[in-house]
Amino acid sequence: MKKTKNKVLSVNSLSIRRSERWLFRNLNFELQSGQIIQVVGHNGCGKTSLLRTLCGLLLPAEGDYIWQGEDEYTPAYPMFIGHLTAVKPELSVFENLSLHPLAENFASEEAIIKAIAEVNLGNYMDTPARYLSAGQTRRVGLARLLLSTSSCWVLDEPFTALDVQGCRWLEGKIDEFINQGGAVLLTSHQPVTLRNSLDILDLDDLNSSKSNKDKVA
Amino acid sequence: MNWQWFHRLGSPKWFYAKCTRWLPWLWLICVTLFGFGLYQGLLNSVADYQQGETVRIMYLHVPTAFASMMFYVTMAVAAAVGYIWRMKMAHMVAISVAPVGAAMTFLALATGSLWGQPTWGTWWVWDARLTSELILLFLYLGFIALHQSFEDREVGDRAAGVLAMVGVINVPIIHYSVYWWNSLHQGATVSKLDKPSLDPSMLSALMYMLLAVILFCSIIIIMRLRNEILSREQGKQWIKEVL
Amino acid sequence: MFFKLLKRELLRHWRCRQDLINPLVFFLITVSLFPLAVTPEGQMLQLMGNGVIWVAAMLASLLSLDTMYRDDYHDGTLELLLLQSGSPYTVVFVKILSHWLTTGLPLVLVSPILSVMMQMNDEAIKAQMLTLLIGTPVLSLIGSVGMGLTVGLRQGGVLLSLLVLPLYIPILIFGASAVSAASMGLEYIGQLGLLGAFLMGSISLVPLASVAAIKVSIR
Repeated sequence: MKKTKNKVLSVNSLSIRRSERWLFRNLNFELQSGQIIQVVGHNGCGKTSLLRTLCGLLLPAEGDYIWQGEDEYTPAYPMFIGHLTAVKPELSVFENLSLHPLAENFASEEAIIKAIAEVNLGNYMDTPARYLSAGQTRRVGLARLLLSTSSCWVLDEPFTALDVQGCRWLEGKIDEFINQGGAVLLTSHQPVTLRNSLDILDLDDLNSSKSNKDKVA
Repeated sequence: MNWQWFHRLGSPKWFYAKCTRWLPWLWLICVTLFGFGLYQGLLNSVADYQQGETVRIMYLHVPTAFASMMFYVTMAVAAAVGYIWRMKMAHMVAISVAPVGAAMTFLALATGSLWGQPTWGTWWVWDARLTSELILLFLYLGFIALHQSFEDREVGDRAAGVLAMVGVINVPIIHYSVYWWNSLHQGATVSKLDKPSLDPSMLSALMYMLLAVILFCSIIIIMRLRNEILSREQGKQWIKEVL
Repeated sequence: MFFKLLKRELLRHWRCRQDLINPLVFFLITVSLFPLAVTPEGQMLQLMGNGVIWVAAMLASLLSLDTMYRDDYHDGTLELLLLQSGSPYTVVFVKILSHWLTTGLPLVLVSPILSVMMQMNDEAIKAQMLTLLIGTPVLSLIGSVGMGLTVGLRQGGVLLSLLVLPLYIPILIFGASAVSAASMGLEYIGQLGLLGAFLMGSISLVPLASVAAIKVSIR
């Protein structure tokens, strides 16, 4: 349990533009270990674009962001789970996890078996993923969270396609991760009930007021 | 070194203002050059002792062929600059040059074919120059098609930038492969410019026409560039002031 | 990292074997169309056989490029691989290598059968295999850039051939000419050397361009 709060991510006057339309301009915020930030806003306000930019998949139009690793010199690999599950239909559940790199590493066999049991897919270990339902496929993707050693999760709509139990389980996992000193940046359309307190980053607010000041205290 | 000029080049506003002022003068020079070139080429120069009057196609064929290659390099360099330094203006230049270059390539092919009919007795010969010109046309069309197929213009810019960099490395390789292929299959029996030197009157006509065609293309490119600037910067304050 | 990723790719291809056989069948059919269309006469076949086999191999390689990035792009694997593997170049290189192992290499192995069918002599068959062995990796390499650029587009297929085929021309010229030189009993080491130079050049430069292309496509 790490008690010291250290900065994981800092975003400096970030602006994102898609197809010559500014999604938002001049966004500033910081994410610290043990903090959860939920990005909210209407459809198409740039939530997904923001997360994808912060993970390095898109280029920001202006501004920058820094991921802080264990110390100043190690870069951090945020664990990104997007809309797409990144589960290959022709590989089995086990292979999907064992042959997928996480932060330059591959998880050990025992850890994978444990993670598969944890997401309730123990009976499907060697089943090709194309026979799984949408919710089960999503669980395979989420099992990667359990295998990752990253200090920050970036989750884009992680609750999609999950059943009620699945949602409760994921919320429990997020709480556990936060208690261990992790940091979470997520978007979700359904209300998230967590034991830890949740900070809201409202992109609509940013757009309407056009102010430069920090939106997240 | 003072890089002020380079940064100013990157400003659409500065560029728009400058070329609006220059355009009439450029037109004037261009028309004059065309006048000189056409007079010299069609009336004042000697006809070829073998090919007769048809040799005058050369005054259009050679400049367009030259321009087609020159503008490919221009386009590729501009696209690469735009990709590497993320410079908006460079992308706009690249995309304005592309159709003009493609048109010149097409003209070079068409005039080459027209010239081939009386000289070689056939509309098309797999001659090294014509073949590499044809491949150049494909490269231009690929560049334009790739840029067009992205809805997001900026993504299209960057994709085209990558393609242009790959293309510009490949163009010399393709060019020399085609020459090698041609010499292997045909020998050097059919060559258009087999005379050791041109008559001075022909040479001066060729030079006038070369300058005129390049200047004409540049004017078209500048006009296309102005359109491109207007359509991309619409909504900006300075556009409202200019129009 | 390299071997795990390679294992993953090969396993994936092995699970959809049909996709591996399709380019080969395409290759066989295309080549066998030519005697039907032109003439079954031996002299003529000998003359054009090398070119026909090369063009068909090029098209087969082009058509199979889809398997390289498209699936991974559409289910989000590609972006995670780029982010989490530490080196995007390794990812791209593995992809290209596995594409060659699953399509280029089988084409090389099948080509002697077709060469025999096209009435080519022993020396030409040997040259055909050698040039294809050196040439097909270059096709996969150059194709990966085109594929990377068009992977996000709905109508990428036709555009892909427009982008990639002109860049294939040098390989075609030198590959086919080596075979025809061999069939006439001439030396063809020069052409092989040039093909080798293309291979070395593209191995060193293409991964850079390919990664840049994919980064443009990921949105």
